Amino acid sequence: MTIGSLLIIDDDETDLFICGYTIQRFDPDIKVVQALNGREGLEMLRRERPDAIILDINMPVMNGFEFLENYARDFARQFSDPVPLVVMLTSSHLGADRRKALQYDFVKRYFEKPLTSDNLKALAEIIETGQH
Amino acid sequence: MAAGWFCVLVGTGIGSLWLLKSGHVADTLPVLFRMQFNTAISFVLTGLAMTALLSGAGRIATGLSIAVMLIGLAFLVEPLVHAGHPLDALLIDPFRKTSPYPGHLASGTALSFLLIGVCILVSAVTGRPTLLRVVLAATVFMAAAATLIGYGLQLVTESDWPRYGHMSPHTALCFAALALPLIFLRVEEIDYDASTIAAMLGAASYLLLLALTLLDLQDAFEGSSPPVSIDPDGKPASQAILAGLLVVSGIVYAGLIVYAFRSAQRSRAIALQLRESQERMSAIIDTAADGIVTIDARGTILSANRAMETIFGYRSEDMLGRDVRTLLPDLLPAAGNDDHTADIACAAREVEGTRRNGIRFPLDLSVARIELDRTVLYSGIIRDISQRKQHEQEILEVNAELEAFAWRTSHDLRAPIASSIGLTAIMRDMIGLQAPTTQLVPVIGRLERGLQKLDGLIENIIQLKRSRLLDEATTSVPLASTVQETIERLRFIDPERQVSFAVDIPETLVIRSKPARLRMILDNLISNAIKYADPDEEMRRVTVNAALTGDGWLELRVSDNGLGLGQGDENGLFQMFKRFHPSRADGSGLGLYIVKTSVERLGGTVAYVRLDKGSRFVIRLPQRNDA
Repeated sequence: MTIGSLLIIDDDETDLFICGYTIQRFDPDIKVVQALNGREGLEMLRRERPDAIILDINMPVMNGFEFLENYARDFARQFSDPVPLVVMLTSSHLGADRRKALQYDFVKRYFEKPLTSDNLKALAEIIETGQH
Repeated sequence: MAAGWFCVLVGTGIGSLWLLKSGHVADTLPVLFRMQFNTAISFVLTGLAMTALLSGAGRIATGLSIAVMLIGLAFLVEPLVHAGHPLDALLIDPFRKTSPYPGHLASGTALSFLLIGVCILVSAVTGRPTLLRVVLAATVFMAAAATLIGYGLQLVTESDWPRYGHMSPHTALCFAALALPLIFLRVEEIDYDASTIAAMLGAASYLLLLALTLLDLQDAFEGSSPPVSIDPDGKPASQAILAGLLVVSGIVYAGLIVYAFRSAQRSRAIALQLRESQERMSAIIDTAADGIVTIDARGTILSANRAMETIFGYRSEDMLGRDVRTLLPDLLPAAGNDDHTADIACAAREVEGTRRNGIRFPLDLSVARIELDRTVLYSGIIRDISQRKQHEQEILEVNAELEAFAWRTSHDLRAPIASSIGLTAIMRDMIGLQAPTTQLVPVIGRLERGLQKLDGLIENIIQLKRSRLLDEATTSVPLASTVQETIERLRFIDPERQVSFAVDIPETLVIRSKPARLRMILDNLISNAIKYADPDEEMRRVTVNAALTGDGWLELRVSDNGLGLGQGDENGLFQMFKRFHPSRADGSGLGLYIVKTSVERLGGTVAYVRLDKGSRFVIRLPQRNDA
């Protein structure tokens, strides 16, 4: 099972570039959708249905935690199918952030920047087991 | 108990002497036989009754005391009715022939037995001290004591008062011994002071002796009843007693005067000490920084010190008699609750108080329970901690701010480094793939920008740190040139974004302020105006104007026709790490926070005004900041 599409929510253009490059090198067939903050991400989700969401925490307008709250309320409850899972990708090393994010059962992993191909391998495995 | 056994012993001893009919003893110590045999028997009975009473055998005490009473009563009425006494046959006749002075129980002795009997009976029946018991026992004691004093004066060995019956010294001693426990035993239970009773007994005994002596003397003068015994000088014994009494009285009187003088002196000294100590205590209490209040068990205020006045705003006399709940609403159970026994004593705890003006405030309260003889008081120590609480709150806020700052900086410092690591890996990958330079250059550009961003952030942190610590002198600042310098310095930070500037500040406008701080404010506002200029705008403009208002304030406005703020973004505009156009420029989110703290340190305010197109920041500073 390969990854079909990913939504990356990050305000930093360089980080988006790094993610895009790393994903493209990992598997050029993966479709990548980008959003610059949580609000844009939620809007994107009304149109797209990615396999997974890669989410930053520190963002203007709507940060990662606010996104998770909204996502849990507006999407996770309504979808009867397994909801697109979320992996956190952040520069924060703080344990409190990690615990807070992992409270949501659709948040599967907590990666630290920069995104690596190992991260993507792990993500592919999670998606595979999650769809069984 | 000892008194009881003493009586039994004496009674038995004398009784035995009567029975032994020892003529030898009677010759050498005739006085011993002045206690009649029946008196001795009665003492044995009374002693036993007393012992039984004290050891808690109520029934035996009752029975024995009734027997004693009957004997006393029988001998008391016998001379009145002149009947051949049946007891005579029993108790006197056997000794009539042998003993020196066989005879009846004297009426005084009989009366004493009757009274003692009543006392023991009353005690045995009621089981507690009563006024009746004390009075009767005191009467007996006075009679016995008067007799003993009489004997003690060594003047009446053979004399007595025939009209009132006679009593031998050991009889008197026995009565005194019996009466004392009956007077004093557990007398404090009915609130009598034992020492007062003792003093009154002493005085009464003395007066009784004096009265008896005088009566006797009067009889002697009137000749109605000639003295029984005459001294060799021919003077009546009463006169001798009187003389003895006079000497003794004189000695006692002199002693009393000295004692009274000494004790008056001492009590004056004690009163002085007491007053001094009270003054010292009240001075300590009144100058204490903490409020000190005493209340009774119902919560009524009994005293309040001066600090209480300061804390609560009432005068101390207005607080007296008030319910303490008007000051400390949470201290006691609600009014109307009858459970006043609830113990309110406590170690220091935090409660709310109400000042006179109705404002509630936090205070530390500790309450101690004070047990007095008849009542319970509570003393409360109150410390107004509203200021401390306010400081605590401020510290908490500053701490939270610092924590947020540390959180954000650790994140924001790490973010560009993480990106750089990622970008370096990508470049290595590209070089491995032998990618053309055209692909590598933009990546290097990103790397460079990331590092610049990091540099900017660190610069801002240093600025913020400086803004906190900056301690510079107030000088005259020509505003127009200061603004112009700032613009010239910033004009070319972004060559791609050309902005035209218009400055409208009178050249003569000079304010007293702190130039470095003022420059920090201008730097941030003007660089923001440049950074967030609208790229789609043909004429990108930034206007800076300033004027003095009539009331001594400088109003400085920095306006632009840039990107402006989205609806609702004004909230938290001046907070740390707020960024509204992240895609537009690499701000740290600290700029406006620095502006705000700097303006506040200069004693001014900053406000945001939304324009139709763009933003305006209005700074108001005091024209003269000489702080």
